[in-house]
Amino acid sequence: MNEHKPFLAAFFRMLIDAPRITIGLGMMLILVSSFGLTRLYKDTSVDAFIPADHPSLLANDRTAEIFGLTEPIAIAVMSRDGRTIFNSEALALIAMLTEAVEQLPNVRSDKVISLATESSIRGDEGSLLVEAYYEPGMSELEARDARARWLDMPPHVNSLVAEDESGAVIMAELIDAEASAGTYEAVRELVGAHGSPDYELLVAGPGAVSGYLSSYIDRDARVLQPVVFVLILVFLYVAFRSVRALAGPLLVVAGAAGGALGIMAWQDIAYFAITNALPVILVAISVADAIHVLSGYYRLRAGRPHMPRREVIVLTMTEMSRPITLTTLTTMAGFVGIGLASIMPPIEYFAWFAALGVALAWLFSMVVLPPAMMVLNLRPSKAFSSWSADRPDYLGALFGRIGLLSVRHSGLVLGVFVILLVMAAVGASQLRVDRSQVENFAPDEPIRIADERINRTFAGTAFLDVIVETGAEGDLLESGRMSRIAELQTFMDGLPHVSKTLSIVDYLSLLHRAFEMLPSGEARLLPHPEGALAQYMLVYEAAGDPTDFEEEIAPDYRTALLRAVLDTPLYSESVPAVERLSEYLSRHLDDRHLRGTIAGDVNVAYHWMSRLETSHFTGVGLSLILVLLMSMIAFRSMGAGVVSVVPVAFTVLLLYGVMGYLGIYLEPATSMFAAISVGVGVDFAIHLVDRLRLALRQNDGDHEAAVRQAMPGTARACFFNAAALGVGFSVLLLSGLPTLQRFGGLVSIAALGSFLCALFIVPALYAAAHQLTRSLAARAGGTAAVLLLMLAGAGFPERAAAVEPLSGLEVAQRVAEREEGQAARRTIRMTLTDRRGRVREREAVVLKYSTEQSRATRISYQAPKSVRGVTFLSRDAKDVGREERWLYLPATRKARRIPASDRGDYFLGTDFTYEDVQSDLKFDVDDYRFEYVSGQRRDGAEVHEIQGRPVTPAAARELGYGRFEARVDGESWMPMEIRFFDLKGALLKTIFVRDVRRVDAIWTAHEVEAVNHQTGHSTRFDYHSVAYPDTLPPDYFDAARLDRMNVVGSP
Amino acid sequence: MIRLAVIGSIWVTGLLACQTARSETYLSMPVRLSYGYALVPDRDLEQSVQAVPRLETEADRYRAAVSVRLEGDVLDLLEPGSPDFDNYVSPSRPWQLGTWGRLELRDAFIELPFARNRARLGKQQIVWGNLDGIKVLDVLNPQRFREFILEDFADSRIGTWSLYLDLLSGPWRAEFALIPDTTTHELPETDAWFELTAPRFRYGAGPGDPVPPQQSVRPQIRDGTVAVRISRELFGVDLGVVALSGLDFEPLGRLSMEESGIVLEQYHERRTLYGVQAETGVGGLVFRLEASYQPDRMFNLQTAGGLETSRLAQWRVAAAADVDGPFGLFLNLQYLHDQVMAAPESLVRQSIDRVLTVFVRRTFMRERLLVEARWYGELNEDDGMARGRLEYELSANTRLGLSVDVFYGSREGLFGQFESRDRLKLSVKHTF
Repeated sequence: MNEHKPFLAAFFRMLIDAPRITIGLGMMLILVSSFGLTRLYKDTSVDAFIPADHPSLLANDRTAEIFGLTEPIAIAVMSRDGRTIFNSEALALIAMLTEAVEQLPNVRSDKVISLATESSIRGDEGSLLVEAYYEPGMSELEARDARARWLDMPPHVNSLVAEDESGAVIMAELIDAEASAGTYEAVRELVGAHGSPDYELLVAGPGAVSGYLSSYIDRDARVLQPVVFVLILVFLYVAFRSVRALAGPLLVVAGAAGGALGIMAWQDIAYFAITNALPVILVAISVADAIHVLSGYYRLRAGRPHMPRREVIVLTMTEMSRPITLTTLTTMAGFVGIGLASIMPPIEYFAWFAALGVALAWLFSMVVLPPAMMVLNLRPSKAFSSWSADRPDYLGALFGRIGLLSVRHSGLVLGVFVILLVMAAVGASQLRVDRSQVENFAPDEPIRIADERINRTFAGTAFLDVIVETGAEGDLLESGRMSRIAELQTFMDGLPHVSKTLSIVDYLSLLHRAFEMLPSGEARLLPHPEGALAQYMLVYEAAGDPTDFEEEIAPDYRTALLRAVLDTPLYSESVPAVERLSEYLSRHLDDRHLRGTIAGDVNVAYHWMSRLETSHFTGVGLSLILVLLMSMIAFRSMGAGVVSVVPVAFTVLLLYGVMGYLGIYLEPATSMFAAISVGVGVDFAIHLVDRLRLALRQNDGDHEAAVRQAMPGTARACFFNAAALGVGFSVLLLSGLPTLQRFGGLVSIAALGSFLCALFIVPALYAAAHQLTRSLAARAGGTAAVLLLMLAGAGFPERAAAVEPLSGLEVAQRVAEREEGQAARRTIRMTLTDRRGRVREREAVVLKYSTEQSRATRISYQAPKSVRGVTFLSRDAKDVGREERWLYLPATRKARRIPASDRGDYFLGTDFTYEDVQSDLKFDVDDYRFEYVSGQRRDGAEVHEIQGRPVTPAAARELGYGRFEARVDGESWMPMEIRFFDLKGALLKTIFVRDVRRVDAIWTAHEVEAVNHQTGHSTRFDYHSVAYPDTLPPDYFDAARLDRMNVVGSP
Repeated sequence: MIRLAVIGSIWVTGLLACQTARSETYLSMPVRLSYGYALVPDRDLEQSVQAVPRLETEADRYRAAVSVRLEGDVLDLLEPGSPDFDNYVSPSRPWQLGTWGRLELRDAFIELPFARNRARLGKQQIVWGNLDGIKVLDVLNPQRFREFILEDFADSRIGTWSLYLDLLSGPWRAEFALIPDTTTHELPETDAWFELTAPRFRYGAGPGDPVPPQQSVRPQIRDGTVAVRISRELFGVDLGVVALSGLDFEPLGRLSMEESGIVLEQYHERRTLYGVQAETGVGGLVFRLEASYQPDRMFNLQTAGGLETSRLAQWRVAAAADVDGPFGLFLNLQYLHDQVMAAPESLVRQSIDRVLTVFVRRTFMRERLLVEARWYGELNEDDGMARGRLEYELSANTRLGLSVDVFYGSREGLFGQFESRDRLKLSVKHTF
């Protein structure tokens, strides 16, 4: 065998002969990358799943900023016998708890709301009475009076106190939502210390649920991960019955998992909640490579007892290098597909670093494992003793028999497969993309019980908000506008699952009834005369606390909040409400008089989950297509490619079916199973197909002989691989969190399902193909293609509607036409600052020369000394759209052409792209569609706000931006600030333009800074010695003269 | 003394230039500390220091540069003992500093621009080839092979005393080189770590076979080189043609009988070379093509009668592509086909060499970390070498490098001759 691969054999001999160096280098790589783990930081928040600049999150930020409302913690005081809460004892308890909660750290003491803090409003013969529900030492009579007043306060019914009066709630807004887990524990301690035989105290609310969940997942996974690791080690021991055999795989695991996580940390990428699964999956994949290598080694060792150990290792590696490389490529393709399609940063990072880990596992398996095996002096294993007589062990024999069965009864096996396929498809059709935060907890978990009770007893804890804005101060108190808000609230009342709405209209209606002595009732009534609302508010401020309505309307009366409380925590049930509300706002509340924006946690969940729906199926489809292509290329056979992918495609469908039948939602956690299934599951089929093809060639196409030769050894290795993965992940079933249980269960099924599927289907497909020549292979290909289309077709995003360019284009044209001189010379001091504050400085002379046909830029570095003389030349022929670039390196003494990167590529390590540098802060009107956002006058100067979207997806890819928003100075037509968003809509970077002044009558920016929000890196360009000569010598822009440095002072 | 005078005068010129208006003078000195470790057998290979002070003056009317290179190696394995540097002509010869080091003049030239043109006179490198690690038209300067081809060509290329004219007219460019300096390749001496042991470099003798005592025959000044290159850009393609007549830097061998016995004389013949080159960029791709034809190059033959020579035609054609790949990867692929036409079986070297090179580079951390992998393969003989390199920018002027070089193949092959010369090299370079 070696003779056929002399290079490989020589390569492995070289590694084996210098084991200390190879292992040392491997250890060094592990140490260097693992050192990065010290930089690791966590971001386990739910908000991490959606880009930080997403409108839904920004709207929530505004709600918090203007109205002080976030995700509160709710404490419910429930009477155990169902009697009314309006009694002196219960009210005293509520008051005492309210006061105690106000004292807790991380609780906004001014934002704790309960019967003890709120007041009723009523009129009394023309005067307004604002009376607190609770006063210290109140009697039963006073408590009954409070009840009567509460009944006349519709906004407080079913919110402060349950409609049946059996419970009251204390809502506490938090200072830092990230720290809500700790606050939840503190509140739990508090209520535990104030238990009462007559009243039950429950703690829940969105703040408590999301915070507690993050910490719970984190804590749970931290305990379970080591268990998974140990279990996989046990499996390795069972597979090889040798403790020494564990060391090699451990080294590979350390290289892959430590390397990938370390590099991730070096890249300053956060450790998200779902990153918990990354070490486990990398352990499983790394172990898989090592299992196949060690199985091959022990098998050969048993069969060739007299061959020197060194040669056995070389022979093993030359045999195994191909399938391991193939599986590495296909597994990487699987993860790359997920990475490309995902629009949720945590999932995207998970996929890319999983792909990197797979590559590292390959590197360590191929380079470090062979010398390690030599050093470890692996003796023949008892587990393989029977192989010495070329007789497989029990497991190998069993898999061999299954293979033979599949070959002999290929029709039956494929028939069963088709039936299962149909059943899986039916189940998959019932699959629901859904999520309920509280269902992440076990049914007996106190937080879940409390949340469900509060939801049942009160209006609910899921909030859908609308922020309504007007142009000028006080505008909202204009009766026409307030009537439109009232109409909006009435509309929201009718939305599905909305159990209560609340807004300033409710209180104004109360004031109106009080002043006009109108009978109480639920209908909202507003006064007609203009100015009445302002007078009501003025009178109320005199009678009550001026801050009483600050959760409903901003003090300047320009912004108001309408809140709808939904009685369902499910995403799917809240979708109609969000979509109908969104449509209403765009039709009725999107003009210069009044503008409505959706906010609230229900809205965030809507956007988050709809993104998942889109990206998940796209990602899985893309992964399968990439894996298929990779397999076809690797095997140079369409049929072999299809056969390799069918088992994993089937397994994914099967799992969708299982989820559909069992009612398991597709949500972020469960959606991860697909990435893992595609990534790992395809390996089994690849190994089997590779060995089977080889055996078929060696046995002149005799399928049974080929199966007897190939299946026992390969399927045995695959089995231990699948079992290690399956059993490892099944440990997650022991988790206290249903989310992790579901995730662990699905991955276990995926691993074992892929193996079983490959075990049966691969030999059967080969046999059937042989019988029916190519026709069945074609049909199988068709089946796989349909499968892939079914999986992929569901999720491609809809095209965004085109935006008609209007005055935005005019602004962009003014910017583009800004005078910049035919020639320019300036010196730039570049200051590059990374997220840790480390600074690098460069200085360069920049020359520009433009004609109608072309644009040339020359940048010659002056400092530091190590790069002095490096010169970059770019020539852009506008008429033919061709760009040419040269780089002169003094060390090589030659100017060479360099590839013209995309305009969106970063320019020589800065945060500016080539386009940013060459365009001189102008927008190419051919690249974008522009939209005028707003215009205002600031300090006497007009400032225009425009946004631009690339005209085509290809243009977006080339530019590297999904869109931008810019504020443009109307005098100089120089952008003041440009916010660029990446292709997925996340805020990428902001360019700040400062110190703009005229030089030679040309507006010139003297400081331009780009801040990359995703990496924390920034680059500042400080310009000095700026001049606009009439012309510059053309030789400066000639590639033949790039070695000339003295270009600063020349004419 | 002559050399000292030349160097001194240019330094003085440079320093004077500092005082004139509209001129700039730069002084820099990169210093590199290197530690080399031989992987097979395990041993220290190199503990060296290299300093290259450079003074450069640039004004509107002239540019002048002087640089020297000081090298010292405690272990003295790359260049053991005191080499006689008999490949150098006297004004170019390095100073030997004991057995541990050397000092040499790298550049000493003055450049005079006139109109769009310029003339450069002095010790200099003239680089016409644009390939990476492969020479087809980069043939105006000899090279030292102290580290085979592992040293950067810019460092291993030997500057020669010459006159260079660079004329621009419209889109046309004409370059002329007159090189009276007949310095030839500096080949490693016997027992040097990278001694060339393949038969093609030992006049047919196999590795370990005895070779008669060698003796060099110095070329005369009339053997100097004249060359011309005409180039221009046409439809986005940089095109050039080259013609050269000059010294062949590779030595030929002949046996001669001396009083002491048979001696192997190393001598050099002239050769004529015609070449074409083209380079163009298409988006993220750059393509390069270089070809040379030498109609009457002299080659050694190993016949029954001993070591003979024959004039034969030789083609060298190389195609290359730079690719700006995904994930920030830069990829360079090159293929070289080198063929001696109508070669007799007794030709000492292979009649056909086919070399493929693959180079991949990626920078990380905003170009602070550079990772490179390079592979050379001689396709005829499954013979090649691979290099991995990391370079980290510790500070603005300090870079840390780590490289691993691995050779494989037959000991008679181009790369396989160094099969037991794998090495690891760690270096720190600081520019003062």
